[in-house]
Amino acid sequence: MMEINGTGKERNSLKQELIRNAVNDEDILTDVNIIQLVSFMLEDGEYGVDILAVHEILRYPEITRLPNTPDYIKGVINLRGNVIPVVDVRIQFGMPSGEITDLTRIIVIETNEKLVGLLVDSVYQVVRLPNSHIDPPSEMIEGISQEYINGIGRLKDRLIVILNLSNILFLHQDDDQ
Amino acid sequence: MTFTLGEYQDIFLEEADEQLQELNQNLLELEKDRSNLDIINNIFRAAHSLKSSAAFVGLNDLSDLAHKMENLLQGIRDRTLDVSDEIIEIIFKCFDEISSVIETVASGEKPTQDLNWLIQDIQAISDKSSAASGGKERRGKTAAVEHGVPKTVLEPQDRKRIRDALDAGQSCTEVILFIDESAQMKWIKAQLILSNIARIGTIVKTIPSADMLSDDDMNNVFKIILLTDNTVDDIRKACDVDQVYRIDVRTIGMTKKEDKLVLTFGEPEVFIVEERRTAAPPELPQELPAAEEAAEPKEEAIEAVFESEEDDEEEEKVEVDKFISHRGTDRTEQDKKKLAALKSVKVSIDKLDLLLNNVGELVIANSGFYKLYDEMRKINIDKTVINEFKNRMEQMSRIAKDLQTGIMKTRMVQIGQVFSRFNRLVRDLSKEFGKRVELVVRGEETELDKKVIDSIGEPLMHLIRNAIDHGIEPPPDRKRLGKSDIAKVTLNAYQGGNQIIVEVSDDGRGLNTEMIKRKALERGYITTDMMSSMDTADLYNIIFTPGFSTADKITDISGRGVGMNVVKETVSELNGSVNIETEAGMGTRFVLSFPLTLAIIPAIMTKVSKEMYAVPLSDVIETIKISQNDITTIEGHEVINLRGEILSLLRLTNFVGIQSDHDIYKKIPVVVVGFGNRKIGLIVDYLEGKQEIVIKSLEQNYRTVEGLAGASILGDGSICLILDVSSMINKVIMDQDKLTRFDRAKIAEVGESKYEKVDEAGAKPKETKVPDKKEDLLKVGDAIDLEARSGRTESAGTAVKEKPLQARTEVRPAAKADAPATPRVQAEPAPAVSATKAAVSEARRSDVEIKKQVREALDDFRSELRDTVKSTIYSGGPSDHMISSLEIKKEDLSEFQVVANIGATNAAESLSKILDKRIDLSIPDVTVQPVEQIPKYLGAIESVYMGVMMPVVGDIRGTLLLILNEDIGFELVDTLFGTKTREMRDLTEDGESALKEITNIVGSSVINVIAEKANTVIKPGLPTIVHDYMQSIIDSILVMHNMVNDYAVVMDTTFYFEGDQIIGHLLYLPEAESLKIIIDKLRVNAGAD
Repeated sequence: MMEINGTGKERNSLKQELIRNAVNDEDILTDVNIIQLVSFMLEDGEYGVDILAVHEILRYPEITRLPNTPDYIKGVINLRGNVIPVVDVRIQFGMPSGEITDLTRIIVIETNEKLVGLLVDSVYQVVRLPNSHIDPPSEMIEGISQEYINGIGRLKDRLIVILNLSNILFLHQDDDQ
Repeated sequence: MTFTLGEYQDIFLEEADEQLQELNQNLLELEKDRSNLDIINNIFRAAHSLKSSAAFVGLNDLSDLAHKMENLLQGIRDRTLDVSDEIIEIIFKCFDEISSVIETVASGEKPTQDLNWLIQDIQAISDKSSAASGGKERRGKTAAVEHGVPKTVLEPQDRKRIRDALDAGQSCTEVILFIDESAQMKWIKAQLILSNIARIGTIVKTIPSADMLSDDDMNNVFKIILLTDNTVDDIRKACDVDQVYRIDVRTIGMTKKEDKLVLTFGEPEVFIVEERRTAAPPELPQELPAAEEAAEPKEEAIEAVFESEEDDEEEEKVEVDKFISHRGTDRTEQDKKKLAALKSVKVSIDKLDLLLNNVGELVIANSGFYKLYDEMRKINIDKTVINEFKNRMEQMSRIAKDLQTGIMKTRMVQIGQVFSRFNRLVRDLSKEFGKRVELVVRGEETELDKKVIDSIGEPLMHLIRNAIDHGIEPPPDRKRLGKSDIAKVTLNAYQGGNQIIVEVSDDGRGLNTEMIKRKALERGYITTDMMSSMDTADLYNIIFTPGFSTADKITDISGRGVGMNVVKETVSELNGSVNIETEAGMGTRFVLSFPLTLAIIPAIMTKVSKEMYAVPLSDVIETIKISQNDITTIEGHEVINLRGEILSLLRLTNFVGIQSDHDIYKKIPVVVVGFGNRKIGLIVDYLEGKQEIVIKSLEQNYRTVEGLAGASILGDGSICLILDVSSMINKVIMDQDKLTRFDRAKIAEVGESKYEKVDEAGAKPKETKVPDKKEDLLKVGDAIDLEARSGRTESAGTAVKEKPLQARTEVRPAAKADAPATPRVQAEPAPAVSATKAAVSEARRSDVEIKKQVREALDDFRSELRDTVKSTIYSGGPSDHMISSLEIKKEDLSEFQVVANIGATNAAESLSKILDKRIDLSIPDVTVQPVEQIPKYLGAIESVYMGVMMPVVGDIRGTLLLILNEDIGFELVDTLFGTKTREMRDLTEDGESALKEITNIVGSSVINVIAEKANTVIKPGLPTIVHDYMQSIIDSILVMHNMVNDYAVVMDTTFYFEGDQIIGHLLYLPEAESLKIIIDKLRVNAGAD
């Protein structure tokens, strides 16, 4: 799907750029069981999504409101001719909706063969994390439903909540209708 | 998990489809021309291709069947078998089974069809035929033997043993032994062979099992799988026992595939040991292996794949000689085919969609340049540069558009391939029903979008079934009716405008409307009330209701009431529509129309607040503007009375959950949308015009959203959502269904109560809006301004008031004399009335007293008018011959006269509002006229008039005719537009639409009165203009109504400007039948009062 639009290349270069940034930050580079995350901020928390699912990262574009959808669906955007939904992750996680700033980004991810935009406060960096540093989701995360979380990554003094992408958009679909 | 045949599934399905079509086509031809060897060759080839490709993907049963077919055909080809009905029938059956297997596979399920019975049937036929033709036993036997080959099924422990042995360096061999069927005590032979073989190797397994092999009635074919170090020749020797006529030996090897060790079977070596082998046909060694491979279960399927891979040139999807590998024969023909095939390339529809999508982007991106160009012009840059930029930009946009149309065209497929499938259906059905039916196909080369082509098959099938089952009479009936005993079902396709029309017609008995009515009532789909308000089109539409059927008994072909519903649903899904034309005794025609392309649709762009929504034009009936006052709220539901019809309203702002920013004092734009036979008015904030949009689905990346049909990307890159009219209508209907019966009755009253209150309403100072209205009217084009009807000025009404007194005496003689030119009466405005009028026209300053005065005056007028007219009529009817010719009594006309008076008054009021002038009118003259006298009766025959005809449909049919003197017509147009058409004497399109509009408004006011008083449902149709001599105008009407009577009832009234200048005549010509209905209804209502 995405290769079709010729975005494969863009995606690679994006990834490389992000990786380059990350290299300076991290010392763990060799472990086979490493996952790479794109981390982003919501309120004061740091969250991560698997880099392999990330299609691209956009500045805040013009969003068309989608009526008759749950409130966490911010609307749809035009991504080079593709109409893709944008999820306001803050609302999805039960936080108050945030302001749109210069740092606001949309992370376009691919899940269940669909493209979905995640509206986040800012994109922070690419993190390399050994699997051993990931704990299963616990009760620790306040307010966020367990089903959205795959695990919690520990990185020095940081905690990164790793999201379960397939549930972000589609979990509650039946309730909404 | 869906069933799949692996990566070659798509290719297989595609090819199988082609082969099946070829097979089908040829079979039908074969039936007609049984001796044609070419056809048999074609069938043979198709069966052969099918056999190979089925084996290729592991559909072994299918391959088996195809193989049997091939054998049968071989017999025909060699002229050892004759083409009998039986053979054709069985080949058709094979064809059906194969299709059904392929369909199952295509739908992603594992085929479970049992093909054995067919294989046996074929066997029986070829046995019988060969027995009959003598000396062909051999062939029959061969086939029987092949059939008897048991399948190799290896248990896991067997497989492990084989693997271990292979690892240890032994070789594994499978031996298939064929013992002569006539041999006695086969089991002894089997035991003998087994013991021989046991000496040279280890027996892993026998198939059937060793126990079975010692049974007396064992099969004549069995398999041994053994592990041995000896050579094939040794094995053969071991097996060479008396009455074993054939030994197949093949080695079993081992390969690694996807981490799993898989046993593979090598090419068998065939030893024909019995002396009769000399009689074996030469192709035997070639044919048998294929059959056996095919007969093996899964493991061997893999082998088939690998073996065939070398000659697989199909990977590129380029159509190169698809499996027509007719070993060694027909070489030249094959080459020819190759050449022809290479000219076309198969491309998957996904790739085309993708291209189309990208081109769409290109077009949109290109429109960005236009904006840039505008910017550039504002800045001070060298003009030549800007011009060059513009040239290039335009060139690019042209190329992009060409590209777009080009790609769109590649999606188009000729409909012929769909049509050709039905030959078979028609053949089968006509046999089944004992009817003789010929399928006539036209317009096969008409091209439709691939998506339509893919889904049109089913609806067409249902329509054809319906035609043959219900439409076409049995041959004796046809003969009696003087019809040709071969009935015709015609499929036709052609392009009309930007629609593609596909028609299915038959020359049968036509739809039985009485039956439909009866059944619909019986089943409770409609009530008698509803029925009275239905026109024929509505009635025909009942047959699309799910579960509706007129059939008394259910056959397996029809009668369940599913088919027609499928037709409707499928066609709607493709944004198309179905129309039915039928003539009793002559036949029925179903007309399906589809948009030229599905990718791009025209839509009306609407806006609420800042959000843009598109309504597909195919769902839009009209756009109108209404004022807040027109809206009535009942139990929270907003409705308006649109030309006598109650129309539910839905505020788009509510539907999409947004605040309207529309100025409540302005006119409200309403898009009247329809789906099926329901319609609603969609209130929007702004109308933004028509636009072509490309539909993009929301499901692709999200899911279906209630009320939205998709999204579209506009020229500036922004997204506009497309409304799903059907779901919105359903929502409104669901809401309404919650209302009680009582509430609904109240809704039904709205129109009436409104009408009763009109005097009051008229007394309110609504005149302030008059100037607005004129603008709206002209701006909105086909919009109907409701206010023209509901809001009345007193001017006309009061002007009429004085007339009766003078009119009474004058009307009577005129009517009696039946003079060609009836003297018209003009009321002279009385001083009192003028005063009222003056007060009204300065409505802002009007005080309560004047209003009251006006109301009283009007009330007086009403009763007076009624009395006057009644007495007029009773004291001497207008025409005497009406009783004999039309059976309409004089008294009957009097009732009609009353209604006509009120109608004419309303019409005058409307007209006065539009023209913002005072209008006077004559008392309507209700007469019965000989048809040929009508032109003369109306005016000068030699003068040119403008006649605007508005058909009146519904329970009461007729025509409303506004006849204007040519000069007046131009003058009216000029007054409204401020143009000078009068000098040019040429009625422009704008002029035409203005006149139609006037007629629409004036006519509606008359129709509404009739509808109300007669308590029936009638609707105005679309007006048409005839600009010609009076005779031509009247002729047009006569033609339109197909009038057969010599006399017509004419209601004629004349309108005058202030200065006594005649504006024109308003005529209402009800059809004779309808007039009776009106009169009956009026009587009933009068009685009820």
